[in-house]
Amino acid sequence: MTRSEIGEPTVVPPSIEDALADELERHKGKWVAIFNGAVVAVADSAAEARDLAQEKSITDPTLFRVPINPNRIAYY
Amino acid sequence: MPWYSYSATPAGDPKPLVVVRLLHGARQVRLIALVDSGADGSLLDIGYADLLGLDRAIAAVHQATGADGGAFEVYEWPPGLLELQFESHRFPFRGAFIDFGGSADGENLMGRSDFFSQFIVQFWNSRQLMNIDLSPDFPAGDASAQLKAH
Repeated sequence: MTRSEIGEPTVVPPSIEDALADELERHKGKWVAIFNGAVVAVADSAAEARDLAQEKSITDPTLFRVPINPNRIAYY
Repeated sequence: MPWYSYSATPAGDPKPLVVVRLLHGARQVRLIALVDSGADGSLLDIGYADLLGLDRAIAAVHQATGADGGAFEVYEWPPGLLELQFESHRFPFRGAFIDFGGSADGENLMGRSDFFSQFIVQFWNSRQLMNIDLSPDFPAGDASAQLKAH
């Protein structure tokens, strides 16, 4: 299939926008709770990050541990 | 399904990341994972297992090998306990968990054993896009049937 046949794709925005990536840079190694593209809580565990988000009435954040030095891991 | 933009990463190159939901009964969590065709199985930070109330004492511990050849332990729970959901499609989780420890030198992976069994994934690297289409093998909303079949 050629590029012209594909046309311009409908694109879903990235899971992590540039501004959020810059913010995550400050939280390497920490668990963060993300909501609406912004960090709403930072903690040492997923449960703590979730609880801090819930204190802000955010019940369904995205929880994510920011890699310090992300390496590609594959296993069999 | 449409194309998905690669995501910015902290001080790194854009990567094909997706938001997925991990479910254990009534408990669930949204997380971010790398779509990794090189990973035989999905691999998640064990912090999610702890968060969802999974008991490490009943997990099977296996040795696995990383892309760099290094060995590490992974935790696996019995089939049928966990599900993944991407967009509106829910399916059994067949991966494992890893304890990254204090180093946090890793990231969640969506691998071939479950994610790539459900979706047809195309990477358009020059445009930093990926296309994720539901496999014709699995009609939408069929997770319960899949769990019974396995």
